[in-house]
Amino acid sequence: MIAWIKRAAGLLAGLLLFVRFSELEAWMAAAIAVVIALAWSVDFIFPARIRKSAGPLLLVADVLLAAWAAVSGVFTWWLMAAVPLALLCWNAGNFLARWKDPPARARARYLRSLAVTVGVGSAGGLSAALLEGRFSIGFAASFSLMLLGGVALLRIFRGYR
Amino acid sequence: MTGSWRLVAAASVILVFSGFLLSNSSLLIIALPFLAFAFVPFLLPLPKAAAVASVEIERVVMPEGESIAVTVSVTNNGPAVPLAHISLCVPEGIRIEEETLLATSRSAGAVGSMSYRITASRGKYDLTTVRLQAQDALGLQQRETLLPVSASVSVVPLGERLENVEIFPSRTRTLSGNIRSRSPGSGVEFFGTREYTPGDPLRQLNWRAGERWDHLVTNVYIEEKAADVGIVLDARRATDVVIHGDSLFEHSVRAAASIADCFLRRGNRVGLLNYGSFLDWIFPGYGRQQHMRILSALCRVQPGDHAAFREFSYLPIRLFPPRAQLVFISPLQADDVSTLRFLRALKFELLVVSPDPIAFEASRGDLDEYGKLAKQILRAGRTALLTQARRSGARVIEWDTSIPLGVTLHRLGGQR
Repeated sequence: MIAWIKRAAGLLAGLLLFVRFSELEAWMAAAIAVVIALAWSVDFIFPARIRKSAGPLLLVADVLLAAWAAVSGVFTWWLMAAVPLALLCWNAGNFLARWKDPPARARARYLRSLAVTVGVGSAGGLSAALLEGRFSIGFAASFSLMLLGGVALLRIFRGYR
Repeated sequence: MTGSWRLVAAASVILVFSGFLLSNSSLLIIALPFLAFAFVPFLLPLPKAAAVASVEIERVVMPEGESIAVTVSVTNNGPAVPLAHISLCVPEGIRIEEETLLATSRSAGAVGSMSYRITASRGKYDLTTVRLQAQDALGLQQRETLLPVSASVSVVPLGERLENVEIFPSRTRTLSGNIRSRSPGSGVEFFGTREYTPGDPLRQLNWRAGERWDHLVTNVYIEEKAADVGIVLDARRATDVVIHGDSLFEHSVRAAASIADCFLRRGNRVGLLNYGSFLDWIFPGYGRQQHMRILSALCRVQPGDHAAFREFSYLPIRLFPPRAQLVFISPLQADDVSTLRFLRALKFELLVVSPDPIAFEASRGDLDEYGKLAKQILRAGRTALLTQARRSGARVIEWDTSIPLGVTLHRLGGQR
């Protein structure tokens, strides 16, 4: 399950960047985004040694592309989603490298920790964007989002329980 | 902190600084998920594991080439650890063939177990440390704890099973055994005849001889007794040859184990002297316990150097029973022949099993023209050395280590 979550997140992160660069008509960057998406999603065809060293490189490439897209045009919500998805994909890859066949309890524990941490980061980013007035989703939705971020942060304090 | 944490921390710092430098809030927003990851270890530090480890070994003594199971159990007496990896720190010489996770749990008081199958080369190994690597779920922080354990395993040399090694000691013990003594008695091999004396068993009468000499004659047989055997293992570094990690000395050790086993099985009293950087003497004895003592000594012996033991001339002959059978396992050096001569003069019977260093070295590499010439010169020198040793009165068996010792002894008449 974790492997599938990882692949889906990696594919989505690359495709979101591809959409952004297609809008900007930066075709070279779009091609790189597609390569990253493919590399995240079908990395099981490579040997473990290459996978281990490629993970951080793909994350850095993803973040650089996201940063470039952010400074060179209009900031969009899907661009913001690309970074947490890339982080999620990279961390899940690390977990699978550390523990090849984890028991169900360990998998569940890990997914909870990952979701909470990514949730805190994403909620924080989205809240900052809302505060800056980049998007408008209404007071109730913004408040709920901040509340959810706060709850996730509390769960980190309580050891993900 | 792990490399993963350093990566996310570096990314978040770079994004935050770039955001401030370029006055671009988008970069700051992108940095927030990284900051969330980077701050997790500060918000939720990894608890310190208070663990106790224990090691169980399937057998404390194993022969070379076999594998044994080792189970490592770690009990966590401290707070729960999200992810813990247990690994056994093995000394050099031990190879882990298989590693299996038996059980793991994060809760306090829980036991985690790992099972290993290990093989090792000859030697005595102490297992002293178990490494416990505790990690948080996201792999951002890690703490390594070394837990003391106490266990040891002895890997004894794997010798051949020799049926018999023919020896002719000049003195035997009073106990009956399988070695032909030089005196008449109640054996099975014919020794000679003597005049009949009342009380001799009638079935031992030699009727043909009696008819010829016109009085009663009795057959007498060679008495078979147990003997004193002293095995001298040459552990001098100067006589060892090491090629591509394979050592001639290891073959000598296996030969010593095989010969000791053979003599002990046949009821003889066997002692062992490892002659190298120091004298390791196993007092002569009988039976399985003595076999284990000898294997234990062979397990720990290593080739070494010492000025006092550079030649066999300092061999402490008083350790051996008078006129005992001595078995030297040595490639031999030029100076050793005088010692063999001296021992023969003291009525010791000598059998020299000499692993061939030239054949050993030549079999582990292609020789060019000069190599072949060097081999011929060395071979001539060695032949002369072995001839001198034979002339001193010792029975010398040259052993090409690529051939089993039993086959060599059989071919050269050392084995019945």
